[in-house]
Amino acid sequence: MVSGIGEDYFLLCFLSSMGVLQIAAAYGRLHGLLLLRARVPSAALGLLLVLAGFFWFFLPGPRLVSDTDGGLDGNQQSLYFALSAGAALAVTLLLSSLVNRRRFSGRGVGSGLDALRQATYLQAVRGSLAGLLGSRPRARRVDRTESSSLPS
Amino acid sequence: MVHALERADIAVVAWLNAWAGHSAFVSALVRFIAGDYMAPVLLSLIVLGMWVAPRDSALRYRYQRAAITAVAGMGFAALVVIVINGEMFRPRPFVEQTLTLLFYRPSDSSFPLHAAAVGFGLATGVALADRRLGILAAALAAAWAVARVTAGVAYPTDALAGAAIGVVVTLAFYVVMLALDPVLRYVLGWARRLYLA
Repeated sequence: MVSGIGEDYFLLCFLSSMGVLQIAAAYGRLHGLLLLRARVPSAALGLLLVLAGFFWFFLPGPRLVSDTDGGLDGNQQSLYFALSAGAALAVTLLLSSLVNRRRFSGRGVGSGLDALRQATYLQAVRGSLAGLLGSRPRARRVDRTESSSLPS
Repeated sequence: MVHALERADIAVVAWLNAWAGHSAFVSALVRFIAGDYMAPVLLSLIVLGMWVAPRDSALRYRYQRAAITAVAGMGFAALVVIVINGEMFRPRPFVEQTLTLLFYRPSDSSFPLHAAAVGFGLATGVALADRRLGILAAALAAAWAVARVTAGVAYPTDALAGAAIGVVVTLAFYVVMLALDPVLRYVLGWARRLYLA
């Protein structure tokens, strides 16, 4: 059972993790992970999400509550952070795949996170599955201004 | 020697606590930084960012290895603190001295400071990959520990001992990680196949 402070903590970690993923993706030029089309607005959105999370959590005060009085102990904090960061990653992968679905060809996606420079997560996974099954994913419209400057 | 150290401990806590007590703003700031949530979340976010931000795969591998080291080092450092807490008990400063308590009343041992071990464990892992980010993380960890001392819930030697545990345990884990490099590459290789590393 998640307590009130636990829910707030989860939301803090979820929002700020989503924000950091946007900032990091913008810095790392992982266009397929961005929720907005350009890097700078995505980084700004990320910063806004981080600030929103902290503002939400600390609005009532400094949250000085012992774990014996309803606060979270270290193990709970670690667990909640891991769960909320995982949820933030999952939401980011899905949302960015939806937002950018018409932006990339989905071909020649490379490996690892580098693939997300010129493909969305779902396109990259689909490309892998298609490769395993011996067929290529159908090409989509390419954003040439984005893809032409990227490493192969 | 021990008595001199104890006297210095008490004097530093009393001085910092009195200084913070003179200003409502400083008191509020100390309570905010000393809390259980702000510093560890910020440090964890730095580690999360390290996973994604590097621009090439070689650099990313180094950063991801450091991120794993940071998290594992923090965990093992916390474990070491729990073991030491079980073996020896040092009362908190607010129990023994006349101080303005700027925190809730922890009932566990003051030595070594758990927050310092966790903070410096994470910061050491970060510093192994990126010196500038490491300095930022170490400053955050130091601010967290100093705020705990200022709030009257830890002595400076508790914080120093906790920080030393965090640094040493994380560095030890880093050596283990270097020895286990093929295993780590194998695990991260699978994560790369899933486009997660």
